[in-house]
Amino acid sequence: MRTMNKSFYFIKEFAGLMDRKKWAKAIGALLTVFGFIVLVYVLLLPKDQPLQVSTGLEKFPDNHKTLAQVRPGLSTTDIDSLYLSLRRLESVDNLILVLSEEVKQGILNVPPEVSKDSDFFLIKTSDRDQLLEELKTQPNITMVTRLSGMTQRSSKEPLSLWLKIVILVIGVIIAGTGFYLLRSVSQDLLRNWRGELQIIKYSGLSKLSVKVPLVLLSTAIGLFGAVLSILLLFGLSTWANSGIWIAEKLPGLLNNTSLLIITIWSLLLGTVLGFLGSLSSLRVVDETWKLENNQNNT
Amino acid sequence: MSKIVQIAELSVYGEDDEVLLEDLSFTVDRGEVAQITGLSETQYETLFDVLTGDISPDAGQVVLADRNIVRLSRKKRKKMLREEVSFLPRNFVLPAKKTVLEALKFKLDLTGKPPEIQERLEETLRLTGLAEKRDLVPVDEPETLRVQTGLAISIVNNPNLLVCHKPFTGLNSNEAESIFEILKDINEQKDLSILLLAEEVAGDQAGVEVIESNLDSRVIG
Repeated sequence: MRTMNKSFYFIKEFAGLMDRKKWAKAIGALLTVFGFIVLVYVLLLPKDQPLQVSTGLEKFPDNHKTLAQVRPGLSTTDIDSLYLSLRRLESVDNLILVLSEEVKQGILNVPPEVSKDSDFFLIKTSDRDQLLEELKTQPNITMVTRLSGMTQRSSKEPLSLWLKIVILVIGVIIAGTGFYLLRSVSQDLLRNWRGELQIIKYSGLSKLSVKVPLVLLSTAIGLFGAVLSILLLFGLSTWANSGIWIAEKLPGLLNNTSLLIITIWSLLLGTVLGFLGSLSSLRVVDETWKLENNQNNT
Repeated sequence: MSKIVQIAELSVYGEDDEVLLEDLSFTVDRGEVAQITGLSETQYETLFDVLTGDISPDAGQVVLADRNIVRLSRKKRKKMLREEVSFLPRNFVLPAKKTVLEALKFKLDLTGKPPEIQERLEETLRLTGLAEKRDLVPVDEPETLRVQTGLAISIVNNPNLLVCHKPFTGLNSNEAESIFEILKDINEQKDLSILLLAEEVAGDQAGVEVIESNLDSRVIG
């Protein structure tokens, strides 16, 4: 407990030493962790997951591209009548009812312009123009939209071996840069803190008391980098239907469970990266501590 | 009178059995200012490192404030440094951005804040002649002020013994004399034992126990 109190005290001291250059390096380290984790996503996340219809709807036939929103508040009987009425339309080849609960569970990810509180029909048609005309005769259908792209995304070509190698090399370079920046920030901090370090040394405190706050700082940077990458991932998932190019290129993550698992793994990865980066910083403490001896002796 | 420093037959050998210190013996009484002379640069450094615990001697006894530091556990050594013995290394590096007062508070934050912290700070500033200079950043000031600040940092936790390694380095004779007078004042007013590891003699040596080392000619330096 005493060590932790000292650690937080020293972290506050370090914060007082941060200038523009050191902030730039710390932010750079954070961004490298972020970049590294995003590359890991690109390399490891599955590419053939449906973007708009999750595995919960995979059993349904393809080409149900038209989404018709049902007027909220209809009774079950009304919805049954509506189903039969739609079924009778010439342009409708097939239709699937998706309840609002299923939408909320993430089984169907609807575009942001429609409300998630409604039930929907997924409609398969061979004549979309005729379908739109016919749907105008259905007062309980409040909005019709088309799911962008394929309803069920076709499997993407897996990354080629060369591309994987290139991404891996870039990842290693980014991670190395992150370690270098973390070490450099620690070095700069300790250089500005030599006086305090000497007081610490002759006050009977161990090197560990200086190392612990540095480990905490580096780990926190790794953790923040991971949080950034998770935010990006959540953002891309949220905007998956918005037509943003990169959102369509990156793998789909519509299932809440997947997101949760990826979040946990990302946080772990960021923490481990930050911690490993701090190991190189710890050598700086040893060097500076030793330097104090040598400088006293010269 | 009881002894606060007891060095008996202290020997330290370097690489290839190079003799750094051999059979060095001396004692310092409690409440005394003592200066050990007759050592080479390397020997002063080695002795200082032995006293701080940075290097372990090959033979002999080293007792500081009734503790045999050769056999002291890490925990007890930490307690000794926090409460009983302070070290002022040569060319003491001061905090780059802290004022005199902030540096003293930093030291007390590490060693433990006494209940009478304000009185302690005022007394330390007064004894070291820094009462009017508490808001200066010492690294930007002349060497004398830096040594004074180093002294203040060393004594603010109220140790029983202060070991100074070459405290007059970089000072002219007048400055060295003024620092020496401050040390004697501290000794008188706080009853603090002081061991000076320095060849140079500064100012009036009255009341200072000068210890000639007993090292023989085999010692390098």
